[in-house]
Amino acid sequence: MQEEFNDLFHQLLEQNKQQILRICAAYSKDTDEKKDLFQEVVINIWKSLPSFEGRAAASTWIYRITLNTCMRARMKSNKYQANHLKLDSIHFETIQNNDSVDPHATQIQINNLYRCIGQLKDMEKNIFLLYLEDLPYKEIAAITGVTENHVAVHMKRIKEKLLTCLKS
Amino acid sequence: MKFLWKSVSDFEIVTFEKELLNQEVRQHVRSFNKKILVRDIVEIGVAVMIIPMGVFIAYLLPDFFIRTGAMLLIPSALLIIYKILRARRFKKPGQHFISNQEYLENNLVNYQNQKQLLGSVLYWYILPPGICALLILTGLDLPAMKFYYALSITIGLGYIVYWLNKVTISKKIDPLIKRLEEELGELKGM
Repeated sequence: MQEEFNDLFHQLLEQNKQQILRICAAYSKDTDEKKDLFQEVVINIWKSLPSFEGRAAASTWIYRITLNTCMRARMKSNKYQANHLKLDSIHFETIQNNDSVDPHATQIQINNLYRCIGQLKDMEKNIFLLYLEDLPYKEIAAITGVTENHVAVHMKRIKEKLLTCLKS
Repeated sequence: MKFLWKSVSDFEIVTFEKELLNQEVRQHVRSFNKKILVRDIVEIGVAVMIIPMGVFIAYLLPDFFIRTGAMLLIPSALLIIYKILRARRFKKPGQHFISNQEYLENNLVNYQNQKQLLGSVLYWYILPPGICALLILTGLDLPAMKFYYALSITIGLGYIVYWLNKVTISKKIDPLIKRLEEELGELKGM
Protein backbone atom coordinates (compact mmCIF):
# COMPACT_ATOMS: atom_id res chain seq x y z
CA MET A 1 0.00 0.00 0.00
CA GLN A 2 2.74 2.43 1.05
CA GLU A 3 4.78 1.37 -1.98
CA GLU A 4 1.85 2.13 -4.32
CA PHE A 5 1.47 5.50 -2.65
CA ASN A 6 5.17 6.28 -3.13
CA ASP A 7 5.10 5.09 -6.74
CA LEU A 8 2.12 7.27 -7.58
CA PHE A 9 3.77 10.24 -5.87
CA HIS A 10 6.98 9.86 -7.88
CA GLN A 11 5.10 9.19 -11.09
CA LEU A 12 3.05 12.37 -10.72
CA LEU A 13 6.16 14.39 -9.90
CA GLU A 14 8.20 13.02 -12.77
CA GLN A 15 5.42 13.66 -15.27
CA ASN A 16 4.74 17.20 -14.13
CA LYS A 17 7.94 18.57 -12.59
CA GLN A 18 8.87 20.93 -15.43
CA GLN A 19 5.34 22.36 -15.63
CA ILE A 20 5.36 22.91 -11.87
CA LEU A 21 8.76 24.61 -12.03
CA ARG A 22 7.68 26.96 -14.84
CA ILE A 23 4.59 28.02 -12.88
CA CYS A 24 6.57 28.48 -9.65
CA ALA A 25 9.00 30.68 -11.55
CA ALA A 26 6.14 32.86 -12.77
CA TYR A 27 5.06 33.39 -9.16
CA SER A 28 8.56 34.09 -7.78
CA LYS A 29 10.71 37.15 -7.48
CA ASP A 30 13.99 35.23 -7.51
CA THR A 31 15.53 31.78 -7.79
CA ASP A 32 15.40 31.05 -4.06
CA GLU A 33 11.71 31.83 -3.89
CA LYS A 34 11.11 29.63 -6.92
CA LYS A 35 12.88 26.70 -5.24
CA ASP A 36 10.96 27.25 -1.99
CA LEU A 37 7.70 27.31 -3.89
CA PHE A 38 8.53 24.18 -5.84
CA GLN A 39 9.32 22.34 -2.63
CA GLU A 40 6.12 23.55 -1.03
CA VAL A 41 4.16 22.24 -4.01
CA VAL A 42 5.88 18.86 -3.64
CA ILE A 43 4.89 18.75 0.05
CA ASN A 44 1.30 19.68 -0.77
CA ILE A 45 1.08 17.02 -3.45
CA TRP A 46 2.20 14.48 -0.86
CA LYS A 47 -0.32 15.77 1.70
CA SER A 48 -3.17 15.80 -0.83
CA LEU A 49 -2.36 12.42 -2.38
CA PRO A 50 -4.72 10.42 -0.11
CA SER A 51 -7.56 12.52 -1.58
CA PHE A 52 -6.56 11.81 -5.17
CA GLU A 53 -9.26 9.55 -6.51
CA GLY A 54 -8.29 9.63 -10.14
CA ARG A 55 -11.66 11.09 -11.10
CA ALA A 56 -10.08 14.31 -12.27
CA ALA A 57 -7.20 14.06 -14.72
CA ALA A 58 -3.90 13.91 -12.87
CA SER A 59 -2.71 17.04 -14.65
CA THR A 60 -5.81 19.00 -13.56
CA TRP A 61 -5.20 17.92 -9.98
CA ILE A 62 -1.51 18.83 -10.09
CA TYR A 63 -2.15 22.23 -11.67
CA ARG A 64 -4.75 23.02 -9.02
CA ILE A 65 -2.34 22.20 -6.20
CA THR A 66 0.50 24.12 -7.87
CA LEU A 67 -1.51 27.26 -8.53
CA ASN A 68 -3.23 27.24 -5.14
CA THR A 69 0.10 26.78 -3.37
CA CYS A 70 1.62 29.64 -5.35
CA MET A 71 -1.31 31.96 -4.60
CA ARG A 72 -1.19 31.01 -0.94
CA ALA A 73 2.55 31.64 -0.74
CA ARG A 74 2.06 35.12 -2.17
CA MET A 75 -0.52 35.82 0.51
CA LYS A 76 1.88 34.50 3.13
CA SER A 77 4.75 36.64 1.93
CA ASN A 78 2.52 39.67 2.48
CA LYS A 79 1.21 38.46 5.79
CA TYR A 80 3.57 36.10 7.51
CA GLN A 81 6.96 34.91 6.45
CA ALA A 82 6.67 32.11 3.95
CA ASN A 83 7.90 28.68 5.00
CA HIS A 84 11.49 28.21 4.05
CA LEU A 85 11.86 24.61 3.11
CA LYS A 86 15.04 22.78 2.46
CA LEU A 87 14.64 19.41 0.81
CA ASP A 88 18.08 18.06 -0.10
CA SER A 89 16.50 15.38 -2.29
CA ILE A 90 15.45 17.90 -4.93
CA HIS A 91 18.13 19.20 -7.29
CA PHE A 92 17.75 22.18 -9.58
CA GLU A 93 20.21 22.08 -12.42
CA THR A 94 20.91 24.93 -14.80
CA ILE A 95 21.84 23.63 -18.22
CA GLN A 96 23.64 25.13 -21.17
CA ASN A 97 21.22 25.17 -24.08
CA ASN A 98 23.05 24.69 -27.37
CA ASP A 99 19.91 24.03 -29.42
CA SER A 100 18.69 27.56 -29.17
CA VAL A 101 19.90 29.91 -31.91
CA ASP A 102 20.78 32.61 -29.42
CA PRO A 103 20.41 31.41 -25.82
CA HIS A 104 21.16 34.85 -24.43
CA ALA A 105 18.41 36.51 -26.49
CA THR A 106 15.98 33.72 -25.59
CA GLN A 107 16.76 34.22 -21.91
CA ILE A 108 16.06 37.94 -22.21
CA GLN A 109 12.75 37.21 -23.94
CA ILE A 110 11.82 34.72 -21.20
CA ASN A 111 12.64 37.24 -18.46
CA ASN A 112 10.55 39.80 -20.26
CA LEU A 113 7.65 37.38 -20.48
CA TYR A 114 7.94 36.61 -16.75
CA ARG A 115 8.03 40.33 -15.96
CA CYS A 116 4.81 40.92 -17.86
CA ILE A 117 3.09 37.84 -16.40
CA GLY A 118 4.12 39.12 -12.97
CA GLN A 119 2.01 42.23 -13.51
CA LEU A 120 -1.21 40.26 -13.92
CA LYS A 121 -3.63 39.60 -11.09
CA ASP A 122 -3.44 36.09 -9.63
CA MET A 123 -6.45 34.61 -11.39
CA GLU A 124 -5.53 36.21 -14.71
CA LYS A 125 -2.06 34.84 -14.22
CA ASN A 126 -3.42 31.36 -13.55
CA ILE A 127 -5.57 31.40 -16.68
CA PHE A 128 -2.73 32.64 -18.83
CA LEU A 129 -0.17 30.19 -17.41
CA LEU A 130 -2.50 27.31 -18.15
CA TYR A 131 -3.01 28.65 -21.67
CA LEU A 132 0.76 28.74 -22.11
CA GLU A 133 0.85 25.13 -20.90
CA ASP A 134 -1.34 24.38 -23.92
CA LEU A 135 -4.42 23.32 -21.99
CA PRO A 136 -7.84 23.57 -23.66
CA TYR A 137 -10.32 26.13 -22.27
CA LYS A 138 -12.38 23.30 -20.81
CA GLU A 139 -9.50 22.14 -18.61
CA ILE A 140 -8.51 25.70 -17.73
CA ALA A 141 -12.10 26.20 -16.56
CA ALA A 142 -11.96 23.01 -14.48
CA ILE A 143 -8.73 24.09 -12.80
CA THR A 144 -9.59 27.70 -12.13
CA GLY A 145 -13.28 27.19 -11.34
CA VAL A 146 -14.60 29.75 -13.83
CA THR A 147 -16.74 28.91 -16.85
CA GLU A 148 -15.27 28.32 -20.30
CA ASN A 149 -16.90 31.54 -21.50
CA HIS A 150 -15.21 33.49 -18.75
CA VAL A 151 -11.90 31.93 -19.67
CA ALA A 152 -12.35 33.06 -23.26
CA VAL A 153 -13.25 36.61 -22.26
CA HIS A 154 -10.39 36.74 -19.78
CA MET A 155 -7.93 35.48 -22.36
CA LYS A 156 -8.80 38.31 -24.72
CA ARG A 157 -8.15 40.91 -22.01
CA ILE A 158 -5.00 39.23 -20.77
CA LYS A 159 -3.49 39.01 -24.23
CA GLU A 160 -4.11 42.70 -24.78
CA LYS A 161 -2.46 43.54 -21.46
CA LEU A 162 0.51 41.35 -22.20
CA LEU A 163 1.05 42.65 -25.69
CA THR A 164 1.10 46.20 -24.38
CA CYS A 165 3.55 45.18 -21.67
CA LEU A 166 5.82 43.24 -24.03
CA LYS A 167 5.98 46.13 -26.47
CA SER A 168 6.94 48.61 -23.76
CA MET B 1 4.69 32.85 -26.85
CA LYS B 2 3.88 29.24 -26.03
CA PHE B 3 7.10 28.12 -27.65
CA LEU B 4 9.06 30.65 -25.63
CA TRP B 5 7.30 29.52 -22.45
CA LYS B 6 8.11 25.86 -23.02
CA SER B 7 11.73 26.73 -23.79
CA VAL B 8 12.16 27.75 -20.14
CA SER B 9 12.68 24.07 -19.42
CA ASP B 10 15.63 24.02 -21.81
CA PHE B 11 17.57 26.05 -19.29
CA GLU B 12 16.75 24.32 -16.02
CA ILE B 13 15.80 20.80 -15.03
CA VAL B 14 14.74 19.19 -11.76
CA THR B 15 15.80 15.80 -10.50
CA PHE B 16 14.81 13.86 -7.38
CA GLU B 17 16.48 11.35 -5.11
CA LYS B 18 13.44 9.17 -4.58
CA GLU B 19 14.25 7.47 -1.29
CA LEU B 20 15.55 10.62 0.34
CA LEU B 21 12.55 12.58 -0.92
CA ASN B 22 10.16 10.10 0.73
CA GLN B 23 12.01 10.45 4.02
CA GLU B 24 12.22 14.23 3.88
CA VAL B 25 8.59 14.77 2.96
CA ARG B 26 7.38 12.38 5.66
CA GLN B 27 9.62 14.07 8.21
CA HIS B 28 8.40 17.52 7.19
CA VAL B 29 4.72 16.52 7.45
CA ARG B 30 5.35 14.90 10.85
CA SER B 31 7.10 17.98 12.25
CA PHE B 32 4.36 20.21 10.84
CA ASN B 33 1.67 18.14 12.61
CA LYS B 34 3.72 18.27 15.80
CA LYS B 35 3.85 22.07 15.63
CA ILE B 36 0.06 22.21 15.24
CA LEU B 37 -0.34 19.92 18.26
CA VAL B 38 1.97 22.08 20.39
CA ARG B 39 0.07 25.21 19.33
CA ASP B 40 -3.23 23.56 20.33
CA ILE B 41 -1.85 22.51 23.70
CA VAL B 42 -0.47 25.99 24.40
CA GLU B 43 -3.63 27.84 23.33
CA ILE B 44 -6.22 25.60 24.94
CA GLY B 45 -4.03 24.15 27.71
CA VAL B 46 -3.71 27.48 29.51
CA ALA B 47 -7.48 27.96 29.51
CA VAL B 48 -8.00 24.37 30.71
CA MET B 49 -5.57 24.92 33.58
CA ILE B 50 -7.52 27.96 34.76
CA ILE B 51 -10.56 25.79 35.61
CA PRO B 52 -9.06 23.75 38.50
CA MET B 53 -7.19 26.88 39.57
CA GLY B 54 -10.53 28.71 39.92
CA VAL B 55 -12.00 25.83 41.91
CA PHE B 56 -8.92 25.70 44.14
CA ILE B 57 -8.95 29.46 44.88
CA ALA B 58 -12.70 29.42 45.58
CA TYR B 59 -12.22 26.49 47.98
CA LEU B 60 -9.19 28.02 49.71
CA LEU B 61 -10.29 31.64 50.19
CA PRO B 62 -13.73 32.19 51.70
CA ASP B 63 -14.09 35.89 50.87
CA PHE B 64 -17.24 36.58 48.81
CA PHE B 65 -15.50 38.62 46.09
CA ILE B 66 -12.60 36.22 45.74
CA ARG B 67 -14.91 33.21 45.65
CA THR B 68 -17.20 34.85 43.06
CA GLY B 69 -14.23 35.95 40.92
CA ALA B 70 -12.63 32.50 41.10
CA MET B 71 -15.88 30.72 40.24
CA LEU B 72 -16.44 33.06 37.31
CA LEU B 73 -13.02 32.08 35.99
CA ILE B 74 -14.52 28.71 35.06
CA PRO B 75 -17.12 29.96 32.53
CA SER B 76 -14.53 32.49 31.28
CA ALA B 77 -12.06 29.70 30.53
CA LEU B 78 -14.80 27.59 28.95
CA LEU B 79 -15.78 30.51 26.73
CA ILE B 80 -12.17 30.90 25.54
CA ILE B 81 -11.92 27.17 24.79
CA TYR B 82 -15.24 27.23 22.93
CA LYS B 83 -14.23 30.26 20.85
CA ILE B 84 -10.86 28.78 19.85
CA LEU B 85 -12.33 25.37 18.98
CA ARG B 86 -15.18 26.95 17.03
CA ALA B 87 -12.77 29.13 15.05
CA ARG B 88 -10.67 26.11 14.21
CA ARG B 89 -13.68 24.23 12.88
CA PHE B 90 -14.05 26.79 10.10
CA LYS B 91 -10.51 26.37 8.89
CA LYS B 92 -10.05 24.05 5.95
CA PRO B 93 -6.39 23.22 5.91
CA GLY B 94 -4.76 21.06 3.33
CA GLN B 95 -7.40 21.38 0.64
CA HIS B 96 -5.10 22.43 -2.13
CA PHE B 97 -6.70 20.28 -4.81
CA ILE B 98 -9.93 22.27 -5.16
CA SER B 99 -10.42 24.79 -7.97
CA ASN B 100 -8.63 28.15 -7.71
CA GLN B 101 -11.88 30.04 -7.27
CA GLU B 102 -13.10 27.75 -4.48
CA TYR B 103 -9.68 28.03 -2.88
CA LEU B 104 -9.86 31.82 -2.88
CA GLU B 105 -13.41 31.70 -1.49
CA ASN B 106 -12.36 29.33 1.30
CA ASN B 107 -9.44 31.58 2.17
CA LEU B 108 -11.71 34.60 2.22
CA VAL B 109 -14.16 32.90 4.63
CA ASN B 110 -11.23 31.78 6.74
CA TYR B 111 -9.78 35.28 7.03
CA GLN B 112 -13.21 36.81 7.67
CA ASN B 113 -13.67 34.36 10.55
CA GLN B 114 -10.23 35.20 11.90
CA LYS B 115 -11.08 38.88 11.72
CA GLN B 116 -14.36 38.32 13.52
CA LEU B 117 -12.63 36.29 16.22
CA LEU B 118 -9.80 38.76 16.80
CA GLY B 119 -12.12 41.74 16.51
CA SER B 120 -14.31 40.46 19.33
CA VAL B 121 -11.37 39.52 21.57
CA LEU B 122 -12.43 42.16 24.11
CA TYR B 123 -15.65 40.30 24.86
CA TRP B 124 -14.41 36.73 25.12
CA TYR B 125 -10.71 36.96 25.99
CA ILE B 126 -10.16 40.22 27.86
CA LEU B 127 -13.30 41.31 29.73
CA PRO B 128 -14.45 38.01 31.33
CA PRO B 129 -11.11 37.13 32.99
CA GLY B 130 -10.53 40.86 33.58
CA ILE B 131 -13.74 41.10 35.63
CA CYS B 132 -12.72 37.96 37.55
CA ALA B 133 -9.33 39.54 38.28
CA LEU B 134 -11.02 42.73 39.47
CA LEU B 135 -13.27 40.77 41.85
CA ILE B 136 -10.35 38.78 43.21
CA LEU B 137 -8.29 41.95 43.69
CA THR B 138 -11.20 43.58 45.54
CA GLY B 139 -11.50 40.58 47.83
CA LEU B 140 -7.79 40.52 48.61
CA ASP B 141 -8.24 43.70 50.63
CA LEU B 142 -4.95 45.21 49.49
CA PRO B 143 -3.74 48.67 50.53
CA ALA B 144 -5.03 51.34 48.13
CA MET B 145 -1.67 51.86 46.36
CA LYS B 146 -1.10 48.16 45.80
CA PHE B 147 -4.68 47.72 44.63
CA TYR B 148 -4.37 50.47 42.01
CA TYR B 149 -0.98 49.17 40.99
CA ALA B 150 -2.35 45.65 40.42
CA LEU B 151 -5.41 47.07 38.69
CA SER B 152 -3.24 49.13 36.33
CA ILE B 153 -1.22 46.07 35.40
CA THR B 154 -4.41 44.07 34.71
CA ILE B 155 -5.88 46.84 32.56
CA GLY B 156 -2.52 47.42 30.83
CA LEU B 157 -2.19 43.74 29.92
CA GLY B 158 -5.74 43.69 28.60
CA TYR B 159 -5.06 46.78 26.52
CA ILE B 160 -1.88 45.28 25.04
CA VAL B 161 -3.77 42.12 24.00
CA TYR B 162 -6.56 44.27 22.51
CA TRP B 163 -4.10 46.51 20.66
CA LEU B 164 -2.06 43.59 19.27
CA ASN B 165 -5.21 42.02 17.88
CA LYS B 166 -6.34 45.29 16.33
CA VAL B 167 -2.91 45.70 14.68
CA THR B 168 -3.04 42.13 13.37
CA ILE B 169 -6.41 42.83 11.81
CA SER B 170 -5.52 46.14 10.20
CA LYS B 171 -1.99 45.28 9.05
CA LYS B 172 -2.31 41.62 8.14
CA ILE B 173 -5.84 40.35 7.80
CA ASP B 174 -7.63 43.34 6.24
CA PRO B 175 -5.19 43.67 3.30
CA LEU B 176 -5.59 39.96 2.58
CA ILE B 177 -9.38 40.16 2.70
CA LYS B 178 -9.30 43.18 0.41
CA ARG B 179 -7.06 41.41 -2.06
CA LEU B 180 -9.16 38.26 -2.07
CA GLU B 181 -12.35 40.26 -2.50
CA GLU B 182 -10.81 42.12 -5.44
CA GLU B 183 -9.74 38.88 -7.11
CA LEU B 184 -13.13 37.25 -6.62
CA GLY B 185 -15.02 40.43 -7.49
CA GLU B 186 -13.17 40.66 -10.77
CA LEU B 187 -14.02 37.07 -11.61
CA LYS B 188 -17.69 37.43 -10.77
CA GLY B 189 -18.08 40.88 -12.29
CA MET B 190 -17.43 39.61 -15.78
